[in-house]
Parts: sequence; structure tokens; C-alpha cells
Amino acid sequence: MGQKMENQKSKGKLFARAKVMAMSLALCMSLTACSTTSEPNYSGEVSDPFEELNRKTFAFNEALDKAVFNPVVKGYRTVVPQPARTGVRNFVRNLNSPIIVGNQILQGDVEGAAGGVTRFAVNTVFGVGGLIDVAADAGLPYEKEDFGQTLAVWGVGSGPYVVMPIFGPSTMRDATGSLVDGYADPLRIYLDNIDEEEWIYARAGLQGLVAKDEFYDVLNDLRMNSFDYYAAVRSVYIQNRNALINDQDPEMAAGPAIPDYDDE
Amino acid sequence: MRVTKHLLLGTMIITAVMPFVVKQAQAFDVWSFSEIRQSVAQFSETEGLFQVVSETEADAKLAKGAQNFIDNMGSRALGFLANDSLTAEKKSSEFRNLLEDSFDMRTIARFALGRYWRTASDSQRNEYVKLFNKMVIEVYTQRFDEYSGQKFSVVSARPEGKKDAVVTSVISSPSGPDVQVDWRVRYKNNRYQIVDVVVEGVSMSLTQRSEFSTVIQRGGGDIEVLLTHLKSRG
Repeated sequence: MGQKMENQKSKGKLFARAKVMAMSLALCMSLTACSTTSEPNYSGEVSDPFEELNRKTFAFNEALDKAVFNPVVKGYRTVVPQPARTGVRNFVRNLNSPIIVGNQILQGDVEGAAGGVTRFAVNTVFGVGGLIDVAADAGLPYEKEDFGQTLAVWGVGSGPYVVMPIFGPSTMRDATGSLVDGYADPLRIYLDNIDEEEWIYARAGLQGLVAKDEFYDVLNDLRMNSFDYYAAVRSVYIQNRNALINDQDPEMAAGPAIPDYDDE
Repeated sequence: MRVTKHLLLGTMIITAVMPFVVKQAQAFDVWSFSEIRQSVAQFSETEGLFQVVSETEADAKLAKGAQNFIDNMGSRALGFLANDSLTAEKKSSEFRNLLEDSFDMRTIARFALGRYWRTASDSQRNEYVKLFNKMVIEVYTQRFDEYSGQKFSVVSARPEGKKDAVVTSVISSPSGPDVQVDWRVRYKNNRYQIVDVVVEGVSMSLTQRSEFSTVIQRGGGDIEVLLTHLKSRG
């Protein structure tokens, strides 16, 4: 009896999950379909029709960083020395491997996917559960992949720029992508199925901490050296995403063509 | 307890599967490398490519020169940054000289102003270039003040466009991940000069341009707004 109910419950969950995925996919297609041709490419520009709202959310996030996240990052840096922090970062990245490999397959990047699987296996076994990035030293460096990038490879335009509360800069396409990644993540589904939800939150928290730690210095530098921090962050975000999307093409990582003004 | 069981099971599965995966990956690598090499070799052996070859040679020479230029600049910078017998003032002035020698400030400044360059008057242009120059030197001096034993190594160079070469370098610091920096170097009037710095795929010139245009737009399209910002710096 109990077994049966359990089964029904997990079936219901599975169905709900499939429904959410289908809905978010439909949402992303409809939102980005009209913007396929407006891929920003290397101009570093993006459409920002919600700029006023985005600026407000941005200011909110800044306040939150200042009050909560920055002190946490500073504490983390004081308590945990750099080698250990690198270990934590590697561990979090390793847990992300299923998503990365899944997206590499969806992007048709067979070689990358093979590398991703190898990385996961090698780092999990020889890298003490992913704490040490053994594979990178052996010539298989980490590659960040997500469903937002997959959509871009499929030809979906970025859509408008949006600043998400707490999560920060994104685009319509990339936000949809993170939603899909979150739902389709095998580790999350697994933890959910064995009723260990608290590990899902612990992992998400760790992921956030690692990301904040990683960008802390860069963002401080940018904040100090810009007149319009919002505009600077927007440009950096879009350029960085484009660089990630073009990961198979190092020729593209050259920035914009700079004209020779003396020729005019 | 349950978690441990699952973890153990997972590790066992991975251990069992791994040799197969490694083998596959290796096989794939060997396949793609030899395949690509072969087709490249075949292509370059075909007739009618002589013109391309001579052009490629000139490009390769440009790339090599640009690479040496960045390499020299790096060792010059590290030469005085890591030299503890120099005073902070001396370091600053050395660094300023290096920046003025190595960067094509006028091109960078003009690119950063984007379409507003055309509508600016001559005096506005001159003032802007002067202020921009000052800002870049201040920003980079302050960045290099934070120097703490990072290592700079030039990795490769390739021709880009007609006059440019992109030199790829890596800055590795003892306390953080490596950072890839690409330098867009232009050969003009018998000298090499930097026209853009691309950090992890993010172009400094483009970021500046995007920010400046937003500042001007939000100030009602008046370039004076930007000049006021630049003047009030520091």
C-alpha cells in the first residue's frame, strides 16, 4: 500500500516536471522567436527595453550584496585559504558535470561531451570526489556549458537583457536556460527522489558562494572604474556570454575589429 | 546511511565505466587529429595557392613581431614591478612611460566614443582624448599597484584582419585562477601599438564604448555630460 502510494507520488512528480519543462520551453521559444535575428554578435550591445526596471532590480541586488553576500564572501576568504577554496570550486563544478555533458550533446559537440564524461570520471575517482581537478592538469580543462548556450547554438537570439532579483544579469534566453538546467539536472532529480531536498539547497548555496567569490575582485574593479556601473556590467555580461557560446572557435575571441581612423 | 549507500554505488558504477570512457575519448582524439591534419595537408598541397602562401608569410611575420612586442612589454613591466629597490613614485612614472609607448591611445579613445566622435567639436575631441588618456593611465596604474607576484606568459599570436595581430597571454597568480588576456596589436608607421585588451573574452574598448554611449544617451545625448564625468574622476 505504502509502496504503491510512493510510486504514484513519484509518477505525479515526474509528470509535473515534464509539464514544467514543456512550459518553459514553450515560453522560451515564444519569447525569443522574434529576436532570432537580433543576435548581438560582437557589437557588445543588447536590447534593454526594461532598462528602468532592470536598474531598480540592479540597485536592489547591489544593496543585497553589500549587506549580505559581500560580508559572507569576505568571511569565507578569511576562514578558508585559497587552496581549499579552489577545492570547493572544483567540487561544485564537478557536480555540474551531468548538465555540462548533456548540453554538449545537445549542441552536437561530441568531442566536448566525451571530454566532459572523462573529466567527471577522472575527477570523481582520482580527484577525491571532485575536489582536485586532475583532468585539467592532464589537458582537459573545465568548460562552462548551460542550456542558454545550447539555445544560442540552435540559433535562438538572446532576447532582451534582464536583471533577475538575487541572480543578477541575464537575458530572456539565458534565464530560460537556467530554468531548464535546474529542472533537468539529474543530481537534483536524484536528490529529490531519495527525499534529500536539503542537499539541493545546500548545493545551491555553495554554488552561489563560489560564483560570488569568483567575480568579487573583477566586479569591485569594474565598480570603482566606471561612471555607469549598470551599463558596464551589462556590456561585460553580454560579451562574456558570447565568448562562452563561441567556445569552439578561438578565432572569435578577439573582440571587435578596431578601425584604422587614419585611413579615412 | 542511505546517502552513503548511493554514493558507494555511484562510485562503483563510475569506476566500472571509466576505462571504457577514457578509451573512447582517446580513440576520438586520435581520429579527429589525424583526420584534420590530413585534410589540411591535402588542401595546402593543391595548386593555385601560391599567392595565399606569400600573404600568409607576411601575416606570420606580423604575428611574430607582435608576439615579441608583447613579450618585451611584459618583461619590461615585471622588471620594475618586481624590483623592490625602486620607490613607488619611480615605479609609477616608469609604468606611465610604458603605457604611453605601448598603447595607441588616440585610436582607443576614438573607438570608445563611438558615433559621438562625429558630432563632437574639435575642442571637445581634444579635451576628451586628453581626459581619456589620463583616466586609462590612472586605472592601469592602480591595477598594477595591486601587483603581488603574478606571472605573465605569452602563449601564441595570430594575424587578425589586415594590420592587426592578436597575441594571447596568460596571467597566473598564486592566489587564484589563470586569466587569459588577448592583446590586439597594430603595426603602423614601423611600430607596434596596442589597440585593445580582451580579458577572458571581454573587450575593454567595447565595454568602455558601451558605457560611454549609455552615459551620453541618459544625459540627453550631450557629450559634455561624459566630459564632466571624466573631469570629476579621482
